[in-house]
Amino acid sequence: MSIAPIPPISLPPTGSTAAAGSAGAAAGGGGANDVFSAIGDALETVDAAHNRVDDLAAQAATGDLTAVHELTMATAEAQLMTSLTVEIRNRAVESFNEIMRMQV
Amino acid sequence: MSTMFAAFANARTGMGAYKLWLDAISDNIANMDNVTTTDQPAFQERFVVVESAEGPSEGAGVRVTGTLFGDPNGVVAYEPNHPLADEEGMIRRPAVDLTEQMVFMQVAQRGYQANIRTFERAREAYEAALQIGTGR
Repeated sequence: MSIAPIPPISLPPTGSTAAAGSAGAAAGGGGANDVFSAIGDALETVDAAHNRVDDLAAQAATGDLTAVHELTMATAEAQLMTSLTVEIRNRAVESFNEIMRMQV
Repeated sequence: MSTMFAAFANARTGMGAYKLWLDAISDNIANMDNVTTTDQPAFQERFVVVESAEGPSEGAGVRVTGTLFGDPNGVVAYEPNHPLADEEGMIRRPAVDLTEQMVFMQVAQRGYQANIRTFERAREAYEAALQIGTGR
């Protein structure tokens, strides 16, 4: 009977996880950094969706809105996109904090 | 955006198409009693033409390709006392059938609502997905 050897545990350098705290833009090799930079990109898309809602709301106020559903749908979509991004951010921060609390 | 929420984009195109159909029906009903002289064309019923939009596997919804118009000859009727009647006492009315328009209107309204329901269901599903693992 042969026992499989235990594979070595590979961890990213601690420097990169610390950099992740400054959320997003800082490019690094660490896994946590990827999550936060992805959130930064996602927030730009969310911002674009909110700008679209603003445009449609202005159209509604001035009477230029051609279809009511365009505004309500854009609002719901922007809301959902924001929730999704915030939820991902919360989960990422949660797991980051969990690791920071770890007793070594 | 549309790749993440394909159901939203599809439902939006559906709502747009049905809204346009409702608009066309309202125009048809508004003009259904227009009387013209026999040397003028009658009001032409408006038809919205749609087709399936080419897209990826989840589809790209429906696309409005244009508008078609009904018979310009309409219905010629004998009404000698009408101020627009010609020498033979004939006038021209549009060939718009109110009963048919009312049925179309019902179909268009339900179609619009069905697309809204699609959107709402998709939104509820996505919101439920956001709660995965939160224990809420």
